[in-house]
Amino acid sequence: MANQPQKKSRGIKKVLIVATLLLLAGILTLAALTKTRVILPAEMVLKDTNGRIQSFLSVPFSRLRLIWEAYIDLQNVKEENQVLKAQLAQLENEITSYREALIENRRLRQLLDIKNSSDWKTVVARVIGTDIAPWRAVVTIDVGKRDGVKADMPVLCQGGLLGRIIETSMSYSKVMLLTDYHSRIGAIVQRNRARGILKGDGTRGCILDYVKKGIDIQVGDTVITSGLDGIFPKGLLLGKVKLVGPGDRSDLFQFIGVEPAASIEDTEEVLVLKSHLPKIKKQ
Amino acid sequence: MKTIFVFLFLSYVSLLFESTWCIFCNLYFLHIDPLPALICWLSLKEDFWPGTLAVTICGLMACLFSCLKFFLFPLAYLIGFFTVYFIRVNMLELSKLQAYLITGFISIEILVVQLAGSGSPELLWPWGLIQAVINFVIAPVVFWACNRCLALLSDMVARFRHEKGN
Repeated sequence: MANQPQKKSRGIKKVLIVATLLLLAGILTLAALTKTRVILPAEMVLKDTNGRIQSFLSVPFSRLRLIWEAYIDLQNVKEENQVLKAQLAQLENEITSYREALIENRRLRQLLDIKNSSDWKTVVARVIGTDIAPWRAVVTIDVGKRDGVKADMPVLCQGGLLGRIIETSMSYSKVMLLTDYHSRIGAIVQRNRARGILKGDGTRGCILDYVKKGIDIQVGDTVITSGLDGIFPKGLLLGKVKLVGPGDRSDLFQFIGVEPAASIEDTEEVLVLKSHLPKIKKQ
Repeated sequence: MKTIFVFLFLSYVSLLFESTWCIFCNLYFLHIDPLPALICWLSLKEDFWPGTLAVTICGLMACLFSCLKFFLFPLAYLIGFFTVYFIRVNMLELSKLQAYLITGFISIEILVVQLAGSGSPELLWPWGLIQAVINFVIAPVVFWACNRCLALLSDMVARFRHEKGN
């Protein structure tokens, strides 16, 4: 008889556990069915609070890194000086040819009545944190909805394209870098216009995929955005080809390793392109 | 209650550390992650329901620092908590070394859930397993830090009560 209340309590516990598990399964099903992730207001507030703390903590870190980099720079300054002199001479030649191209470009733009690319609306941001899942190349920047930043906006840094916005809260956003395992960008090889898709390899490099065997790709070729993905404007620098291989015999495409032009590891400041589509003047 | 406070405090600190100070010091897919060891430590100390609640809160906190699918962190951490709790309650009294080993095992489980849930299960070999070994290696440090924090907190509470009594 005394065991009856105990049995009842055990029964209630079992029902509670089963109910909890069913609820969990329900939540997971709902989460799996929802394709676009909705950020709740409470989540947004919490993310903003975390962003402020991350922003505060990232300052001493970047200073420490500056000191370290200054020391390293000092060590390599002689070698660098010689290399830079050689590069300067080469760049002067290039600048002359670019000036020609710029003048030609202006003429063509006037003809087409398209606004100059300097009309792109941009916002400068600082990198304040990274994702805690190490296999995701995602960083947090200190601009958000308040600054007019939205999902899928391209993000640039010194050198070239860095990635795109994937999530925003009021004051902070997450940027998926082009080296992320899930990153896919429409790309072309500048020299011969060969099209492909630039995929992140998850570490510090990228792979230019879906380029047919037989197309001439050389190490050092420049890879730029094709603009066909509808997210990135055409012509942004992605990187340079560092490895070309035929792949397996069964493969239809070549293996092309690309080194990103953007300095993924050293980036502290980035530029978010808020609007990049050329506006055509109405007649 | 003190155990949960120490667990949540150290979880938040380690999440902040991982997301800010480790920005560019990840080695490929590896990093220093004290969370599996923290979960193991809590599982060996706390009761079922308060522990479940604390681990869920910790998982939800982790969601804020990541772009992985919502509920993936709480799910992975809860499975880890339940596993260690079940072993503790039904099977054996764990020695220190066994507790550290269990940290390595639940690290694999956590990574299986997270990698599969985020669409990258192929990274489990070898990265996930190397990460589990790293988590096993850092487990003694995390356990020591947790025990030290708990002792400090208990001391502070006892002193406060003593002063209040006087």
